[in-house]
Amino acid sequence: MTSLTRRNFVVAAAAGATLAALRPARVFAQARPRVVVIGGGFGGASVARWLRRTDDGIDVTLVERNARFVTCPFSNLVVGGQRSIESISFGYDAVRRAGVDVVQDTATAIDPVARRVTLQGGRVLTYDRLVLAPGIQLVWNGIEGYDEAASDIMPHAWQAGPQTLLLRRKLEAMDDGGLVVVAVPDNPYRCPPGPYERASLIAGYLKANKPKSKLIVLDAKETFSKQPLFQEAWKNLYPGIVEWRPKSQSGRVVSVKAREGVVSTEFDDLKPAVANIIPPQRAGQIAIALGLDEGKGFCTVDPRTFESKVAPGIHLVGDAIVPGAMPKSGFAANSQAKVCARAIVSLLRSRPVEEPILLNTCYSYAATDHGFAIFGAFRPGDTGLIVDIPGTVGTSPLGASAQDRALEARYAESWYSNITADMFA
Amino acid sequence: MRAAAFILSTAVFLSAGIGGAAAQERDAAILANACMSCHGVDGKSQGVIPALAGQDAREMAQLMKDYASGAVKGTAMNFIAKGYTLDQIDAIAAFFSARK
Repeated sequence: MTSLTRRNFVVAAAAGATLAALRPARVFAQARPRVVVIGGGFGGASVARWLRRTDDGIDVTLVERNARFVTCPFSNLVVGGQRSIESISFGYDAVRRAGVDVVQDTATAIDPVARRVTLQGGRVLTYDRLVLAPGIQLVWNGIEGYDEAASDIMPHAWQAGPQTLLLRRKLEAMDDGGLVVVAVPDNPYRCPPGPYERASLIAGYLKANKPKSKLIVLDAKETFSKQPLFQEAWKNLYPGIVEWRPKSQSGRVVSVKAREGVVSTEFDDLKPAVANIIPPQRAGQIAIALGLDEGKGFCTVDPRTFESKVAPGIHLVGDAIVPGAMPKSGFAANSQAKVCARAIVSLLRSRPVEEPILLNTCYSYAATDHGFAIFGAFRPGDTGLIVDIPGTVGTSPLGASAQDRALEARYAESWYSNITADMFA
Repeated sequence: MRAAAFILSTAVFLSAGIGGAAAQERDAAILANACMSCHGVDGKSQGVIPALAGQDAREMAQLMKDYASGAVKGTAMNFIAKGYTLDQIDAIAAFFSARK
């Protein structure tokens, strides 16, 4: 009942062709417009807060299955033992105080014609505009043998929470001299620099506590985000500990045998003490069940309104969309959510939709006192995708001083405080 | 440069006119909200990222322009500042200056 397969997730309008023909019904001036947001992460919580900050005459309901949200950003610090899971977990009290009706439940049916969401608990919500922020789902068996059961033995830790702690416990239980493997999928996936930050912070733990151990990054790609900065840090901070194997050097993991502890690339079988397998991903199931990805795995949206290209009246933000030049990051989801919220208010109030500039900054830690970042500003492009604004995309410089890296680590900390307060304080 | 910026921001205020301030602030919000992901809601920042709330608008705008030109060295802002026109920079600076 909880899994939203095509079979049990009820879509009243049935065919995508029917969805495309829909137009959201007129909102009558005397009625308070209603927006339902499904998913309470960076995208969904931000849309809910910014709808209320922009126009408190709008009724906003946020549907989220969990009582607390654990952020993926900074979860690598939990894996590395440098931060507690409590310090990256947030409740929805402040969201409620901001006037959002937060419902802890799961959507089981959407009727885009009647504009109605049915929840597992039986409640039925009507909306003028619906926002889906379901994040990613992991594609089980995208790597042969890597399914949900295998993830209990070889954690992915790519959705923060129990999996994060499981990976941490496995690292703690490992003997000195053990091999740790971090397997990275091909693009697109959530948080492009995340796997390499994780490798760095695990290496920091190994260096301090299990110095005879080694970490191999098995990569399905030839290049990666902030590569020169990570490789510089690995050489300087963790010599002899971190090894990166690109696809062309048998880096791509093709199968695992979790119970036997075997991780296989195209040419090699490894038997690591701890395997962290990050599998391929696609949009959260609610978006897939509605056909909003058009069979492509991620959903195309209008870059000014974040309205689905398939289903008018339904908006999507965050990791579930095709973000053009933006990465799949919590920062990007928050930036998209602010634009989406203002666009929804404009549409509901019959005002022209504004021309946005979106931002992204992804900080990564190579150690708790060693940070660097990638920056960018973005706008809607002529092709209907989000494009970067020339000159705005770049990274922290190579060869920076230890003091500058320490300052960027403090910027990262400050960013985390501010963006989580934006949503949850 | 400083004088030019002053004239520019004055022009923005004049063109907004009486009663136009609310509309101008609304226009700036679509840009300014994005800044808050780092600088905090309403420009009230925790930690080392500078707070923008209540800062002098002209100084803030000038710094943005200097980041964009490379006259002042920073980290993120040498890239991000290049994304905006001079008018947009003035509007964003006025927006945060008005937050208390």
